[in-house]
Amino acid sequence: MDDAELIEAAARLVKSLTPGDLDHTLSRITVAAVEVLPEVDYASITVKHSDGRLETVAPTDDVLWGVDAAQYDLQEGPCYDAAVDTVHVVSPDLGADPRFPRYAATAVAVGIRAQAGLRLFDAPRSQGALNLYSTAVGSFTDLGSLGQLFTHQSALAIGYAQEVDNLQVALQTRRTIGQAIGILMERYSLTDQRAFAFLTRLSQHGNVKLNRVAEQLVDDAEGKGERGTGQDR
Amino acid sequence: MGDLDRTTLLARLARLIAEDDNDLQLEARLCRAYLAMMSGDGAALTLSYTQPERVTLCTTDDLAARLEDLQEVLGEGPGPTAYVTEQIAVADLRAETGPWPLFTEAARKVPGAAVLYAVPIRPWNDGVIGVLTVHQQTMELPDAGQAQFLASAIGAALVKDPPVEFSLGSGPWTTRSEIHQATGMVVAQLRISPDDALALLRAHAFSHDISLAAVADLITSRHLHFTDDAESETP
Repeated sequence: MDDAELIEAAARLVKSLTPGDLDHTLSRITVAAVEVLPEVDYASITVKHSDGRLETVAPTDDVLWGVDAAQYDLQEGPCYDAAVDTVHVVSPDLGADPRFPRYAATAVAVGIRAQAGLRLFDAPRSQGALNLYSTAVGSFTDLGSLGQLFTHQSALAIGYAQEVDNLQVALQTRRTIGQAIGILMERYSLTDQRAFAFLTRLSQHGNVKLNRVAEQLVDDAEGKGERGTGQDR
Repeated sequence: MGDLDRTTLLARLARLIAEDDNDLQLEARLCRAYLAMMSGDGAALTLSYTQPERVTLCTTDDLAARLEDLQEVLGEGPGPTAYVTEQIAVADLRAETGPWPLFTEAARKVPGAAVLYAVPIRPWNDGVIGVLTVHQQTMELPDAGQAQFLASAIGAALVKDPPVEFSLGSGPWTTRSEIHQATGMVVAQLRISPDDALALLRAHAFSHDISLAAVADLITSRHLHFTDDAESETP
């Protein structure tokens, strides 16, 4: 790729990666990876949660659900490595790659011959990696600066989206705790202060986050008894 | 709108925020500065507009508060439309017809209401987090590009510095807490989902022509109680 192409790709990238809400942002990143980066046929993002759980988000093709799941199950493959410990993993010829003997068979069986995993973000509560897939042997040997630019730009967009997400989660937490306090007020004829204190004690006693205790209370209250609404979520 | 215009606008907004009463919360100063930039008569700032976790962070006057409440209770008006479509929406409350007949009819009875517009708050121009509404007497609207740009700037400030401390003290958070608590009490009274309970609160507010906060207060003070058979009110 020459400089002019690189600049043009970079410009398209910045344009397509405006941040939105978190889900949209992640989808845009994988779609942009296929459009902007050379040799990419499919892309997905692996998120590693704080409890160790690995999740595939925003795959550009349904075939990736199985391919990614195989890497999580086998605990091997570029996307597993990039999400878990290595920052940058490239495998231009999966079938001949001695690092991924078990996973490669699964990938090659669905036509995937080359793969790269690039670390996208490393947040306190989660880590994420971008997975790039190609049907052609020899791909991704030259990701270089465009790959770096891409992950940098993606990380920025994700950072913004996470800030928006944090605000929305905070609002939802307030709602749930407020509703739980109301349920306790009604059930035990408590004032709001006493209900809040009670909720706090429940949380400390069971060593469960206040929000989780509140969620459980709300879920139980609406489902219980002979009168259901029939549309409980 | 060029970069120079944007810089000038941001500088004016920043100065208004800085010069305002420092005892006020950031969200109140943001809302007041926006109103000054738009040259309207009153404004309101509400997050998660059509969601159950909605919270009105600031209203600059009683009329703004009443119009905000009506839109929540009725579920329609420029505010909900701006939140859902992510576009600016305008209501001429003096017109006979319009896209929000319920809201327009109710708002017309509120003294002083004439024109209300709503601007989605989209930090980084995408992904709406709330709505700024402005009411005024004239149909002369500010430049849409500037209105949107400044609303986005305010959204970015809110997201960077979120107003989310949990307190049982006073202010907008308490009002909203009371609505959540009342919702929870009705969930326990009728064993229905929180969404259904909130809808019931809204219906009660509408049919009794009082604010949602007033209904919540009646419930949490145990003056209004819903039972399985029929709703009962004790003084």
